[in-house]
Amino acid sequence: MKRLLFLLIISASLLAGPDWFGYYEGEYDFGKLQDKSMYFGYNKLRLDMDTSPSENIRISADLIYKEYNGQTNLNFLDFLDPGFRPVVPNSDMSGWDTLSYIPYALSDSLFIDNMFLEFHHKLFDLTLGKQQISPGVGYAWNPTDIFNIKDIMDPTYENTGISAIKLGIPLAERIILTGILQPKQSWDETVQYYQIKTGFGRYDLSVLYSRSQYRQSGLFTTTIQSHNLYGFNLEGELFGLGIRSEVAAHRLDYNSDNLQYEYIIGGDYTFANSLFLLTEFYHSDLGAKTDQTVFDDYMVYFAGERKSLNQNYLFALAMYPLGDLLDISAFGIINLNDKSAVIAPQLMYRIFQDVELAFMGSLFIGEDPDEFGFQEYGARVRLRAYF
Amino acid sequence: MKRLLLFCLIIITSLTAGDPDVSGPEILNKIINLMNPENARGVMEQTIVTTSGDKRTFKYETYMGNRGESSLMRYLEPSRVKGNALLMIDFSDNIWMYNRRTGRVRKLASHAKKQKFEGSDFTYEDMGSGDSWKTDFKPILKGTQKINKVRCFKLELQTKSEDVSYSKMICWVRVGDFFPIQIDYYDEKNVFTKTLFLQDIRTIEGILTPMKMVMRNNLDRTETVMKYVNITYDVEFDKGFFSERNLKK
Repeated sequence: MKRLLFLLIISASLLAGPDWFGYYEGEYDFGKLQDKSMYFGYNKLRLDMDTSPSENIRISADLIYKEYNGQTNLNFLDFLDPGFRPVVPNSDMSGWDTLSYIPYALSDSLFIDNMFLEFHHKLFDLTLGKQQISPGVGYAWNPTDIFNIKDIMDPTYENTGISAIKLGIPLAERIILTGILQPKQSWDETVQYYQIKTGFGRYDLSVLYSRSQYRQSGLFTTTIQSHNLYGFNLEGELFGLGIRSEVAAHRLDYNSDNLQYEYIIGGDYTFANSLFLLTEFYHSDLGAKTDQTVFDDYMVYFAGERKSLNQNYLFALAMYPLGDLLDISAFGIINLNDKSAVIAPQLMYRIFQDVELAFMGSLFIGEDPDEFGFQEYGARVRLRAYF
Repeated sequence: MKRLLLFCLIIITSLTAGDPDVSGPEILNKIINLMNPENARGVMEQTIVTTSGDKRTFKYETYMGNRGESSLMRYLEPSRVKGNALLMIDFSDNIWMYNRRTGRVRKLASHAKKQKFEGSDFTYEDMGSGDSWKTDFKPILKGTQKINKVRCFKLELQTKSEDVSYSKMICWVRVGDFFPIQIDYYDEKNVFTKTLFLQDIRTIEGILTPMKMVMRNNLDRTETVMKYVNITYDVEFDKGFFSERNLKK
């Protein structure tokens, strides 16, 4: 099926005279931990192809080459307070040792990120292939998104494509039913996602149901449970304030009667001088409770299998255009469980029409065992040039 | 005595000559009818002259329906924003933005219409106000005056709504055909912030069309020029054209 789709896309795109575009991105990161510093970066080239062989068909694909530099062999445990290091049997099984090294390598890669075919009909829209799927209305967290995990330090960065079949059926004005299937090894493993979205006045509202598997990879054990998600999204405005809310009720294991809740509630406002403020509160029953964080919680979180380490967070963002070429902004994230925080000022300068230069600093506040306490500060420079 | 009376009559007649008997609301209605044809489709080029004197150019397809109540814009250039799109309905009270790279559609709250459109001197509100001027502003005719040797009505629009960013606007409207050639914008603190010049006015398919619009920001000393590359009014849109579904196509 994948080969057939690939051949179809390649042959159709060659016949249709595609548009070619993309960008180069160079990024350099520096991080200061308590007893060491880290430096790594990458060069990334994204080449996009987009074509429409006929009015109701669109074919799009992009190829990414990413080359890392600096410290590319990292130790996962360097990012955690030593108190979290697990104790494991030693090599001759005669006793116990504290684990001090879990390798994490940044490897060069060349891959097709998105490759899809869209077919538009009066009655439906069908998308086949590796595509962007981004459910949810939250800025920093999306509890109803089972496909992607956002980088909390860079929540608007593009996601990796998802291999899926997506069908959208318009039922009436501002009412769309969407069904997504992400095929896996068996039907039980295949992700099913159904959403009905509607709008009234200044509000967009959607309800959804999904069925998938929930995986948690611990150091010694990996658990896989059936996962039913019942969700709700609302986006609109109240008394002039932009509001959004996203609620997910998770049923892990078919036999369980317990639902675990994950939600965000947030608001934003733009002042007459273009100052933009946004804030979001996030709660997840799936996260570790205060003072109950263990090593496996970090494993699950860093593996992207859970959206947060702990249960309660607050995100706030302020953005202001300083003239027509420069945007200044700052965001802060507070872990309300362990009271640690990170503050990140940012500066975005549009040097030329298609060239952006961004600087970001990050200052971490908290005690050593806290989520944002073990790191001290960091800096990032990112240059992106589009073509 | 007769000569004196005749002289006065001539003077009065010459002073009021060509001032049609028309009220502020009537002029506003005529402007709105002229500026908001039923439907339109075109390609626009927007050039921003930045504070440093650099020029940034954007090109996009634009679709307008229901006399300006709905509009959809899809970027063609530059590469940075290519494929991104913007949908405004209810005279820009409802705005959705589509990012092609992330596949994401974001609904913006109506306060976002105060934001600059792609860093230009136009706000989203300037782009999609249309018919809402009737409900948002009280029109007062303040006489006539010549602008660039063209005799114009001076129509002051005083805000009636807290939803708009301007305390007042002054429209300079050609007496001959009621087409506005200049609009002065005053912010919420009544500071004269920017001026829109409507230029190169041509008749396209029987409809007066400003092929070039220049927004000059008097505070930032920047300027944005919007030009029609092409435009047609002979177009009809399917029901559902101005929808989130079409935004993503």
